Amino acid sequence: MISWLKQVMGENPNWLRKPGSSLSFMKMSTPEPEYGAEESKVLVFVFEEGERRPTICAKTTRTYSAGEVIRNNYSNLQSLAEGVRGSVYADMFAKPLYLHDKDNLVFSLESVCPGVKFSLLERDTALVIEKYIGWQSHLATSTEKTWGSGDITDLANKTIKTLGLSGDSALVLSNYYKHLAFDSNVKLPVLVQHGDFTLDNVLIYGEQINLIDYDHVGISKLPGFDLFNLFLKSEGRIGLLRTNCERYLPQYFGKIGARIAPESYDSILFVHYLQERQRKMHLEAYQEKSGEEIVNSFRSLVAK
Amino acid sequence: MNNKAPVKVIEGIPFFSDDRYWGKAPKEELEKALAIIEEKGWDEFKARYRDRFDSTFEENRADWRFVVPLSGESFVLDIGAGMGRISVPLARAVKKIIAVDNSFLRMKFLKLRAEKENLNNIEVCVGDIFDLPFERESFDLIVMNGVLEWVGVTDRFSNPSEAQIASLKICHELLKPGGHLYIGIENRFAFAYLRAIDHSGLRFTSYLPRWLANIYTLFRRGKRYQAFTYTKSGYDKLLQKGGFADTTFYLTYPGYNLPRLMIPYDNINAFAYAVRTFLPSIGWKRKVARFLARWPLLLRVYRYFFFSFGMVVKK
Repeated sequence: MISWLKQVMGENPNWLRKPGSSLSFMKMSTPEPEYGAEESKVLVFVFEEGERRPTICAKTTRTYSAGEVIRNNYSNLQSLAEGVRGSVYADMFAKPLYLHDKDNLVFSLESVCPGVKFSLLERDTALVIEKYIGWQSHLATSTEKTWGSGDITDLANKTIKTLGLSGDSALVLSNYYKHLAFDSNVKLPVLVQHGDFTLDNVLIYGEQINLIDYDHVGISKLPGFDLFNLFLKSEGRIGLLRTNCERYLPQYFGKIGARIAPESYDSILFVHYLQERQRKMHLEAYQEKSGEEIVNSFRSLVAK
Repeated sequence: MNNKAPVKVIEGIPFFSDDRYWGKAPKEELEKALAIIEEKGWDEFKARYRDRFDSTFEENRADWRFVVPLSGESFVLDIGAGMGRISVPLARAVKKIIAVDNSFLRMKFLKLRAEKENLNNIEVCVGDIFDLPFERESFDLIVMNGVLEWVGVTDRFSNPSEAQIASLKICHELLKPGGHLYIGIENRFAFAYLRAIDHSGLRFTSYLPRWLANIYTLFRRGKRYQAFTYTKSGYDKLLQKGGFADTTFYLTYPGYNLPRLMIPYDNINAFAYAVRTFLPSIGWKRKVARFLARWPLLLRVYRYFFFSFGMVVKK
């Protein structure tokens, strides 16, 4: 890949901060805990002489047959860039630069986001959520599509079907969803979300935030999925899920122009929870659970 | 490609030198594993031995290939190929691989593995680097991963360095013009050798002057100190004596056998970025490393004691 990379870089000197500077390359293979070796990515960072951070990141896979993850990542990044073009959020993500998909080789090039990972949790958490809500609010102004209560129920039922549960377990989930209070006048905008919004995927850069890792962009278009995941996966670091939901969700739903009563939050969170399970279905810990176990697990999360 | 006939052929595998088994697992264990493949099949072997034999099925040992110019038309020679952790992933990206190893059993395993994985572009043979049968300028890439340090363990040369230089000259001759040699190897003065044993089986020998290490190993082990490793400048000089003048050095983390990170040696900013961004933050050593990353001068010193190198050497 390195020969192609050098060639493409040579043809596009404007991608560099200092065109003509000499380049060095650093390779990083992503760990493979969740996926097989073929699915994990290999990244090559391009450094310009004298620069403290890389300018370009090339992403590829070990085999061409596993290249779908690179194509998806690139197309996700394009859709993110499209949504923020010309706005104050234009620098919140890497910029998609190039996709090479020929000669049995697939790799993509994107700019590298500046910033460092969380250090001061309280200050950084407030900043991250403020900027994130700002971005979502910006997207909400350009969408006319909305989720109604019927659409959300359809989504819940479809998600339950894809979990591969027995008929009885699926029924338990379906009944639990019905049991949750739900305002029939709910109206939520359809929004592109990051899909893997965790502390590890956020970089702080002064008073800006940058989001990295675009594999799961758009996995859910039901608002709140990202925040639910952030609170769920950062529990213990940035406070309890329930506390954070109560603190930030009203603000979030308000800013994106949603119409939803706080009593309906649990219904939405349950759908998010099911979607997250769907995404992790390939992992052993998420398999062979009964409907009761899934419901109990959700209850214990939101009850805190 | 070959310019001499094998001494013998056993089970379809040509021999260009004597069979000499090596490896962390005893020979009997590999023989038993091969019997399981033949009698009970490949899946049974994978189930029983997934984490044995140095994690044979991990595909990332060859990840250095992403910084080496290679194409689907490349011809590759993997010297000291072992059980194929480099040959197998490389075979998916290049035209042809010739895997050479001193051990017949290891080559038999690799041959079986290549057949099971439908990789018909891997050829195996039993051979020592000094007995290779290939014509000049046959290869686009030669791989010596974890090999150069052992080349000196031979009776053919009185001095291990001479053996290492001779092996590099052979590689230089076998490479096509513009071809590359990849070397993965330890740093002589790695911090790790202050608490772990060196290739000699003893502690601190890589830090000692060669003559003293020799006396020490003769005294403790009854044999000469022959598995030489070097510093970055030492490898540079060795490569120049072997005929190579264009080498790009990388720091390999956590080690050359699992090069998750390959950091360009000459770019201190890249090193600082890697330490700040990618190295795990847990553990006191990493905390020290992150602290050092604030001062380039200290990183330059730290670099001198890094565990291992990956070298991309152009002919």
